[in-house]
Amino acid sequence: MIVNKSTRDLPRISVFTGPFGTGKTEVAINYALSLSGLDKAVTLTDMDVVTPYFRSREMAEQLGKRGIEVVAPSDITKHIHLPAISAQVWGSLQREDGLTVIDVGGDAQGARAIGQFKAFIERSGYVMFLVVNPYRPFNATVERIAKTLEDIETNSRLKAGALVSNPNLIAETTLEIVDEGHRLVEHASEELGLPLAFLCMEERLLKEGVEGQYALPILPLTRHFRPPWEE
Amino acid sequence: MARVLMKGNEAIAEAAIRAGCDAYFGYPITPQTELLEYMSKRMPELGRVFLQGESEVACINMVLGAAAAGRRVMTSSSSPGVSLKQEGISYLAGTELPAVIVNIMRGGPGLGNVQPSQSDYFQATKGGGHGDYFPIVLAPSTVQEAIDFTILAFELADKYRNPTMILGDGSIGQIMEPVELPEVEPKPPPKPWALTGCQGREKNIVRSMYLLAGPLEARNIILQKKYREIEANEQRHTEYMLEGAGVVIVAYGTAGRVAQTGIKKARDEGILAGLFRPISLYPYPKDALSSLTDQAKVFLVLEMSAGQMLEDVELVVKGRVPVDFQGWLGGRVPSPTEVLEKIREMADKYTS
Repeated sequence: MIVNKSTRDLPRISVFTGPFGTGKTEVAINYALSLSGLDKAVTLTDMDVVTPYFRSREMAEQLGKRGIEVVAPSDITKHIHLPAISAQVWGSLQREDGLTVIDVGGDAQGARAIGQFKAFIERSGYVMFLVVNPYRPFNATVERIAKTLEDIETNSRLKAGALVSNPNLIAETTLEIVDEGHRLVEHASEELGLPLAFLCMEERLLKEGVEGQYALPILPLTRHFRPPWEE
Repeated sequence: MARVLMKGNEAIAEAAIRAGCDAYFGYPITPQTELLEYMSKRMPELGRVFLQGESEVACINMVLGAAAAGRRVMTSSSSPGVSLKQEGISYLAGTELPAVIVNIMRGGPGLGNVQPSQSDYFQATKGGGHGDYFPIVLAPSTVQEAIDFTILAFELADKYRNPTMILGDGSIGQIMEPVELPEVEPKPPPKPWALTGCQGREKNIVRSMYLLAGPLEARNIILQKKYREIEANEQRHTEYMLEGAGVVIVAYGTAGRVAQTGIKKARDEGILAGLFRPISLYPYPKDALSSLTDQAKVFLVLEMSAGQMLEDVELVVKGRVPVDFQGWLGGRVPSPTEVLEKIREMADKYTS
């Protein structure tokens, strides 16, 4: 588990960025859930201005029931594709209590949305994670990750603090696939000189003894976005 | 080759690149924009042409120009943008130029919304522009099929010198799935008709204008002969659990995929239901569907539209078996449970 009992040592703001389509939204939602029910209020801020479907705002009601406030543009934007962010974002960044998890859209284009909040984010204290899935073609090589990282840092005006390893083929993911993919992310972490914060793994794969195999914490993932034909 | 995770829009773009697409012209519109973005990154890396035109009308005419020069070429858009391209598609058909057009459909009419829809079936399959013509239309229901059919689309376009369309809905464009990217050795056929500079040969003329009735009729007769050949050779479909099925669902793309889950649930309840899923929407897989009229007690057509493919099914069935329909409008994707409820109703009404 990522967070055991106390949120004392966590920076107030966690920012999830990364190349397009690496699972940032699922990771951000699950990360926020892992923080809820501890000693602080948790806010999930949807700052995705890139993706038209499968955004955290669609989970606002479900997450609200679990004590997580979702800050997102008004309801109507669930069904439109506007590069808009909610005015409430200012409030969620300036508050002094509670934890804020920010779900940022993919690539450098997505990261641009957050640059304007640099001053508030820095003042609060933050960690910016770069979520990596080595099974995404053409954005998984060390060179590509380095380039994306540089572009994201330029546009967000923030510094990435750690990588998050999210090796998966969605429903086809097996322990072998996680293991093989995670080794590539470890390699990227060494090459880039960026530490690895945690490894994401679907709950169904977390059988006894799995956690012990890895030297870093594991974030158990529950899939919130499922295609319409799965039921 | 190892499996990778791709979004439908990216997968179509990568498949086109592998199929030897030399030039891509496009204009952004949700929910297909990732296709354009992917092309904007990859095509220049490969020394090929990527161009974001000033409009969809400009793009389809750039497609026509590049196709006339004998190059493999593609454009993509979503519903309102594809409406704008119709004039150019008619010209492609009239000049017999091969090109691939991708439509990732959204809710309509008008500006509609950005949700998944199948309401451009008529436009796609009946020749959406002016004149007597048909584009070949292929409908993927998975990201893997989106890849495979895009590669096939380039082959068919060249083989018949005809515009060929990939017709997917927003779900196909946006969903992310594990896929295998095949290695392709593109082998475009010789194109002696192409406008490549006529030094040392007779000049070629690519045109759709024939001012006199006689020559234009002769031209149309040639085109119609080609469409009959396409109809005879290129019908494609797939089947799921049709053994003993009295309730035969006919659905394509995402509706077909949802239907498959509904059918599995129905079979678990002991209801004999199955799926006929058209892959080529033009040419419609008439022969295989027609052969099911002996077995089917009812054909149930499911579409994310008000009932467009329904007309093709009725034309094939010709009243021999009842044809029922359920549609979802406004950019809504049905759930497998809704499909199951409809199957139960059909089983009660027609098979007991």
